[in-house]
Amino acid sequence: MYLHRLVRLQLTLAVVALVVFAGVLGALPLALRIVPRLDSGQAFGLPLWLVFLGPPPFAVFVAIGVLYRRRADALDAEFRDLVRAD
Amino acid sequence: MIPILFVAGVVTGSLGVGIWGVRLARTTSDLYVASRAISPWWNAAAVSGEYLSAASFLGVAGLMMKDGAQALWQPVGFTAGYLALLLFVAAPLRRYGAFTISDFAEARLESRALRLAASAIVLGIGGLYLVPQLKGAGISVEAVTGAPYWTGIVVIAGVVSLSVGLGGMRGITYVQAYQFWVKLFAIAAPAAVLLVVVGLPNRASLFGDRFPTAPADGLVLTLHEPQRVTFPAASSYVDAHGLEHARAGAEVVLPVGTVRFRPGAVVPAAGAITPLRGHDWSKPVAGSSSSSPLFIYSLLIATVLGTMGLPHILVRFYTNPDGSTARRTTVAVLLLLGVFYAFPAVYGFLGRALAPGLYATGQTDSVVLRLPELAWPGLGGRILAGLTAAGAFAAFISTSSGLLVSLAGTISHDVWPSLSAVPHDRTARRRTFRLAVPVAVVVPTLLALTAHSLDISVLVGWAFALAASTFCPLFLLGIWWRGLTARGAAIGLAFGGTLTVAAVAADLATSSPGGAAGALLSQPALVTVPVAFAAMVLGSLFAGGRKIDADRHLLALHAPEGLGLDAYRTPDAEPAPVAG
Repeated sequence: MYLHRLVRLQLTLAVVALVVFAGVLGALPLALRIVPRLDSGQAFGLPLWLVFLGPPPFAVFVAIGVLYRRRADALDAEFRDLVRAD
Repeated sequence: MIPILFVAGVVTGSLGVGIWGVRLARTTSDLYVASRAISPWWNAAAVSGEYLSAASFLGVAGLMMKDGAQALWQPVGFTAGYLALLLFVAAPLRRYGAFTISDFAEARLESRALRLAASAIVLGIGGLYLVPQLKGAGISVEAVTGAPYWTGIVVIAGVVSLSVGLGGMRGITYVQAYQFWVKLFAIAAPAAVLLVVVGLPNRASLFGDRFPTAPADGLVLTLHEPQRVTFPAASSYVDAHGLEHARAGAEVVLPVGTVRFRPGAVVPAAGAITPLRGHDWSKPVAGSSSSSPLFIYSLLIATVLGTMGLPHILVRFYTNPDGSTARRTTVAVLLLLGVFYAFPAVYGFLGRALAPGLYATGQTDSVVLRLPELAWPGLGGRILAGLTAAGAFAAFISTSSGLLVSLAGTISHDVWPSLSAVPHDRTARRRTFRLAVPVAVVVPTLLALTAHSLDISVLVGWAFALAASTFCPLFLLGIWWRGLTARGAAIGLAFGGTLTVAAVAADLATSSPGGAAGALLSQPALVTVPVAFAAMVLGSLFAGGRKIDADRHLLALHAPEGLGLDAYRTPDAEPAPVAG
């Protein structure tokens, strides 16, 4: 049945996106704790960690969101074509 | 005077946009068609408008000033929650057509009892989330007019109940969208102007080894009641009679009247605040309980997985015409929230450098409201303070009316009909909804009156933890796993809900034990979420109970629109008073 395939593909896509995003987000607290250069380093006169906790995570979220949406809509469209072709 | 004018401006603005929106809806044939005309960007602004509460507008900056940079994990989690919502929930839920959590629970698992269980948890989450909004109202009115703490709580609880009960401003996408832009402007513009006017603050007290110190022109506090404080290091203050008192590392009661600190003198901190040196304050991750990696991971799990379980947010996705636009809306929300959350940190930094008096009075939670006038005395500062006050009012009015609609809707739609034998027609339902509004607002109001010393952000963190340990597994398993049974779901909800409430109660009852245990009591999601998932899966596999024909539901959840498969969907039930 096509639907099972669609659900499986959509779930795979979501999980892949989740792994990427959880990997980035999950690594951040530990990285800041363990790598002393991140903790005490400076960039533009500001502590380096501020660069990691400032805008970049939000930009990564949006990027993952945009890529995911494109792919998910494409999967939906494929499913539509399959059902219509039947 | 100026702040009151600004607040009045925002409120009349909302009313105006509301009236305009109603007229717009009336000229089209029906509300559903009207909602189709709303673009994902409007919807996204509306979702963000409803979402940005007192916790985001006041709480993040307040917590940052008090506890330091580790507070910045909170906005990261608040935003990432929408990514989780996008990946797993947004499109399927829109396609399914169930727009309250209780509707979803009943329809997907074909169980009336589960609807009641879900409703009970909605009441818990909504109530817990409403308390910090009302606390925000209390401290805002306190900061703006000098009236006592309870005034703001009572006034806002009354105003919001009235507007929700009369079916006023809420429910109109345009009003919520307007509130988002008000909030963004009200936090961004003062931050930018202050940075230009006062410049970057002294780095030693922010990142160096200094405790908070009085700024270059000294610090004057006006106390209306004696204030118990602790000096973290040798310092001195001058009392109202001009006598200088030197103190070192001791607890002191500051007298009523004006108290002065010379430039550079270490400023003491009120009881609930631990004074921190700059390099500790500016650490995003450290060893102590509320900035330990354990706590941060727990907080991230709560916020990332809890967002999808917030009752007032999910109903907002109803105005998306289909699953694909629900996805577009969510992506746009990510962007809008990312822009907003760039600003609270500015208040945290400037607050520590320029308004250290808030440490002494224990009012760090209101730094966004008080910083402009403290940092830039005069007309300019007063105007900026008016702006932030207006933004704060927009924040807790929009969120608390959304919450109150969900709470009252749940009481009148789910709880009351199961208690009363009288059949419900439309008018009766509308009447019970109105009666439910005051019922729903009373308990959170009483709690808010006693919660003066609890941080807004902490209170909101608990609501997120409860949502993450109950509704997150319900949605993820219900949408993606055909094996979920009603009994399994009930067991999971019971485990997740009970454990979370127990942890929070234990944290409130005991003085924080510190270490790993303390971190997990004050933010239990790291433990409770996996337990809830495990209980739901194991319960579904082994507890027996009726099997469900899951394929029908999976088709309704996942099949894209426009294939003539819509007949399988749950028919659009009579729109609850929340929808619109």
